[in-house]
Amino acid sequence: MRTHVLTRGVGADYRFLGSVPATRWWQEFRQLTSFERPTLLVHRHAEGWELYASAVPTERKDRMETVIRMSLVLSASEFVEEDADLVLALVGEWLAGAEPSPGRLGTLLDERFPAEDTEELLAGSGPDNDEEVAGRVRAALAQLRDESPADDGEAETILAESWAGAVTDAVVRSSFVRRVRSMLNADACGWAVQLTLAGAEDVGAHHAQQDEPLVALVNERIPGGWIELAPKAVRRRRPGTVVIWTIAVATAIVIGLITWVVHVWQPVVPAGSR
Amino acid sequence: MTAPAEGTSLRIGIIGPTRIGKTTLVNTLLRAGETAFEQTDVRMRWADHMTERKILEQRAELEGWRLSKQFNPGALRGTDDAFVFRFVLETGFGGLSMRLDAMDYPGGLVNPAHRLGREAEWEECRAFIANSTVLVVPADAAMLMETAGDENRHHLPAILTTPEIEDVARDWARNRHQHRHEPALAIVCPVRTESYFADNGGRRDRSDELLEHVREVYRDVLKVIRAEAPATRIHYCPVDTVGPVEFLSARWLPDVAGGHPHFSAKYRVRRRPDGHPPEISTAGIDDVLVLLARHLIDLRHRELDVTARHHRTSANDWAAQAVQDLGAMRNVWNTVSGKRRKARRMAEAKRLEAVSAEEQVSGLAGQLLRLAELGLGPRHREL
Amino acid sequence: MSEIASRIAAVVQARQSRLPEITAEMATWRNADEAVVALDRAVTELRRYPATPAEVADQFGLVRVKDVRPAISTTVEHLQRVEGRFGRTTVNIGVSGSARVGKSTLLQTISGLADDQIPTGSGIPVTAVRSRIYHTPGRRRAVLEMHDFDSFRSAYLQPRHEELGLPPAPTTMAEYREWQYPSAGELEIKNAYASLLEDLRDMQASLPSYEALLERAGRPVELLGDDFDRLREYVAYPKVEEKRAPDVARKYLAVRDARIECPFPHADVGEIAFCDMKGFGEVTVDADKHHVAGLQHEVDAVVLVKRAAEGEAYWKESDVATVRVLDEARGFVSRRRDFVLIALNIGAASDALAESLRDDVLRRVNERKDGLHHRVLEVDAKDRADVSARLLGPVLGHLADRLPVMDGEVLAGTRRRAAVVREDLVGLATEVRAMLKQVRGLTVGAAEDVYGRAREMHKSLAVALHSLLAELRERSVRQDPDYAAAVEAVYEDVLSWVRDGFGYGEAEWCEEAVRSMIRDGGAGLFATTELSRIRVEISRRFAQLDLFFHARVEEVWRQVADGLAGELHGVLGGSIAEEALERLMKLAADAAEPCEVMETSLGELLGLRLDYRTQVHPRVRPELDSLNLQVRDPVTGHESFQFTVAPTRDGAEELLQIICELAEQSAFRIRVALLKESVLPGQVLFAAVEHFTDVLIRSGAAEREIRQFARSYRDELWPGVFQGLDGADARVARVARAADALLAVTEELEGYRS
Repeated sequence: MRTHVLTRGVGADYRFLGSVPATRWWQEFRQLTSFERPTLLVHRHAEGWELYASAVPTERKDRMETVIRMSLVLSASEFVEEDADLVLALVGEWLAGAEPSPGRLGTLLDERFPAEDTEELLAGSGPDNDEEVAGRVRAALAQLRDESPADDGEAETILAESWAGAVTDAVVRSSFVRRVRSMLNADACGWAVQLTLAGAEDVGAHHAQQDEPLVALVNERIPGGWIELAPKAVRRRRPGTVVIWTIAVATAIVIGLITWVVHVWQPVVPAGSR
Repeated sequence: MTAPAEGTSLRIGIIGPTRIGKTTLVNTLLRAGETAFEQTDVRMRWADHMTERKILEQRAELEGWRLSKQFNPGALRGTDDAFVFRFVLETGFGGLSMRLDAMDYPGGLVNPAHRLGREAEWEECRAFIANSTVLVVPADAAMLMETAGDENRHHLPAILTTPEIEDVARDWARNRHQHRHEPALAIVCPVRTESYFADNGGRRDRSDELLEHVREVYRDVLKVIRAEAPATRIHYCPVDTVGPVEFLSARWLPDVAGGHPHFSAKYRVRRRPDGHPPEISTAGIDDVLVLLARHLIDLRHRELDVTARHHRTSANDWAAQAVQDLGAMRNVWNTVSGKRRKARRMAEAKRLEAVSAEEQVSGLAGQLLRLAELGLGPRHREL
Repeated sequence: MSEIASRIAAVVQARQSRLPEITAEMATWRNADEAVVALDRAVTELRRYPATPAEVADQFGLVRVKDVRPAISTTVEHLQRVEGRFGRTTVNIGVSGSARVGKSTLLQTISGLADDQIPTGSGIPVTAVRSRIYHTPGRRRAVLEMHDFDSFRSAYLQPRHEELGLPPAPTTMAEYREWQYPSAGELEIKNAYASLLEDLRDMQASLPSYEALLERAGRPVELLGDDFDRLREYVAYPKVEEKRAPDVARKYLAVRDARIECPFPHADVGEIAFCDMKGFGEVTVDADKHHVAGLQHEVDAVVLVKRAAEGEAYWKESDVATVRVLDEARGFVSRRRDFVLIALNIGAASDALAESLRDDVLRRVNERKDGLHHRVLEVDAKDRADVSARLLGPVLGHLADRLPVMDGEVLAGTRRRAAVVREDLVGLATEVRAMLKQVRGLTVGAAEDVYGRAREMHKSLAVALHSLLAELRERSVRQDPDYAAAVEAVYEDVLSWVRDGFGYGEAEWCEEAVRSMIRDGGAGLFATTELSRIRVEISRRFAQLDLFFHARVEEVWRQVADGLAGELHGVLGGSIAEEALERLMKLAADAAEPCEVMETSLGELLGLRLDYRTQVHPRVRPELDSLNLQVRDPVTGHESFQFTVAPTRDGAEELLQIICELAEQSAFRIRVALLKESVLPGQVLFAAVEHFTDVLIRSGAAEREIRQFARSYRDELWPGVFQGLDGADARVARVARAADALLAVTEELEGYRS
């Protein structure tokens, strides 16, 4: 499991402690969520899975006395049981409270990333730090996993492929967690996202523009807790002009052919019948 | 054409480094947009859910100071990913409205040193700004005013990223020049100006000094705009950030990484004689709104004017065709086949469209007039 | 009065009238001598002075100043003779001739005196004492000048002792009394000298007779009335018969000179006197020379008497010698015949004798030409009328004619001699002056040297101050990092005081605030008081910049003093900075020629003040305005309170926060305002030093005052350079002065050309 940590120091601005992820894939949702608030994105694609958890508050403060945040980017190309457990622990903790929040994760990360060490890592940020960073994050997640109750492994409750649900709804939340598990197992693909800005409609509009399955937790009251997002499959397209003309010509040819056949084979029918 | 038809958005390009106050400025714009235009029926408000939420999110943060009585303008969580604020400007006539986008992006991207690996993002920002119809340049008034004679003042261009702003402004100006039949608007917007004006609770008017500093520090930016797009109208609109705050002291903190030192300003909250919590009062923002509205409505007005003419011409063409004498035989055939009828119908339809468009044009013109009557405040200058 | 008498009188008068001139000339010559002595002393001192360069000393060693003195004394002597000559109230005629030629007889005839006064006698010499007989109508008196033992000794004893080869004559009377002369035959002497020895014995033997007279110590003996007749006692040798007596009185030995006043029978002779000149050849030729000196002073002409007697009626060798001696006494009188006349006493003689004598004299004296060398008169000494006609008349006539000429010749001759000496003096003075000119190049005129040095000093001071000014100008246009640092330090000091609960500690301050607010029923009074206290304290703390300012002023003083010390360290004596400038100011004021402009400019520089309270604070004071409870809205003019807090603990904490913020804000603004004034200290200092330099170096009085200063403190500024030169110079100057004085005297002497 590859681990990236994004944070800042007292003076140094936000940057990755180790190597930088190949793409900032989470920006897909930048218009729908505010990354300065706890946002969770999980993505399953053909090559593996990736996770982005933003705005974990630390006990550190910058020069302006603003709370310093930490964001985690995790990814893997193959399934590893242990990694999946860690991720699920994180997701579970994330959605444990009334509002999405890193919860205990913040404290655990603080323990693993004290101010001095972090400043040092920031000063010498680069691929050399990766191992150390990964190790610390793993340790924090491991501790989180150990402290958290295990997931009971029930099946998803919501059966739609793509849906948007109110983050306050317990069923929605648990369904989300199970979707994440499936994605980690490669049993499902697409996106599982927790967003701060978008509403169900906005999510729906977004979903209409892309073809992966999508489940989203939104800060909105939704009657029934969730709504299904229209599947992409059925597309009614108005036949284009060319098609019409092709059909017309083809029909004409067929009719012509039948007429000709009738006309050619006419004498065989006897007189006086009727 | 930069002023697309209804359905697509115009852009406001806000260019500046980290913590200059882009986010705050947008927030302030929207807050004021609800009430700025008095009886003109012009309104500016958010266009979508996300923008609304984002604004409210920030507002909560920004207003903490009212209770804590400690104001820290840089405390707003820094933007690390771009976000496009989507506004809608209701022209106040005939339900005409315009979509307006402003991109808030990480100010760090402006600084080439902090841009590693995110060049694509930066290009996206640049393109956004270059294609904007309005360029807004925020400037930190405290940094300009409180460093005069300071030995560290020579760091200002690096801190304020004026060279990069100049680059972006050049792109923008060139773009504007290519559309030189359209009006171009640039606004230099000093922010955190509470301490330098006497019209919002402050005790000293140092507005002239501020103007001088802006002229001096942003000289090259202004020069490049004038050079590349001479028709641009450059406005100067100092904007208070919240109102009852004032600059207290500043110090230069050395950068641990050996870069340029960091200008750290402290502010204090002015108290009210009656002891009530302070009220937000952002003097100067109305000028920005009025300028934006005028500009945008002017754009739409022109565009509609073109459309109206086009329709009118078209109507005339069809009308002409309807009565055209092409010879006796053809005339009869046309009447019989219904062509004339069709032409007459088309002419009528176009005429109606033209009339509608013309109505809109005159309606918008009227709005423009009313906006003009609103006038601009005493802080405003044209550069 | 007869013509002769009036002419004689005129001569005497003419002489008298020239006397003051001679006296003055003599006085001038004495001055010349003094001048020479002074010059000699000055030259000697110069040569001996250690700081005198060796070449200079050697140069002056070549000048023999004193060598000229003998010539001066000779000149003075000559002039004295002339003085004596011109001072005579009578025309004196000497009567000379061997013994027994009838001198006394002639004198008796001329004077009308008798044997008792002018002893005559035959056979032996009679007159022992030289007498001068003055024609004095109405009086008969004799004044006898006495020898004292010394003069007696040198006149009578010593010559004889020498001739005899005896030991020197006794020097006191007592000695003489006891002296043992060798008795007859004891001494191996030539016959010629036997008489000398006899004389000595005789003189000693008769000492009692004249000893009392010797002891009169120069008091003359006056013989009047009857005593007058006893004159012979004093002037004549003892008669033969008297010699035989055991106690021979030889009073004449004590008598140096006899002056006899009586009326001459020839009453119309005027003011004349006759000197009976003691016979020559009595002792030795040398003794005769003694008389020559006397003659020159005493007589205007000499009549040499010759008697036409047996064995005498020819011109003898002794006569030749006598004429020779008399000729010597002639002095500057050019013609022999003017001074010496020959009288042939042929009274009782036969014609043949007379003729013989006449002839011989003509031949031997005048080379057969009458009157060629000497005028020859013939007279009968006993015949009054003859004397009057053939002697007195011609002689007086001759004198009346020739004396003016002779006087002129004597004076001219004296002056000629004097002129030579004068030339020598001029030559000496000129030589010394020429040497001085050469020498001046070696010692270097002190005055020129000071001038030159002062100019160099002026330039050096200008250069030193100029470079200091360049540095100060440079600093005055730059930001001053020391000033900025000082301001920062004070600012931090204020901040830490503010943050420490304004000196009380936050908790204590809040506690006090709560209590006061509750007591006062509101925050106003406490807030106002505190704000005032804080304003004052902030001002006071910022005024600590005065320490920095003062240090800068002191630094500038030190720099100026260092710049000046390059040239002036001699007078500064190691003092530096402010002390040095003060010292310099005092020196300028106390200089021999006070240097007012220097003093003033130094005073102004020392009065330089950079003062926070008066110069800087007024500029920054407005920044404290916000530290007030009540403030004025600049737009509406409306007065209102800046804040209100509840009189509770929370309110106190909020009040603390508010006032801390206001205080910090004010302090920050003051700091910014002060940093804006950053060039002020540099500019003030530069301007002050520039003004100082302008006044000290470039003002109109600058050059003059620097010179004055240099002159006054020359020895401190350039120690050793001038002291030695000074001494040598002073001595050189003294020599110059002496030479000049000598020259001045010679010029005065020039005026005495006749």
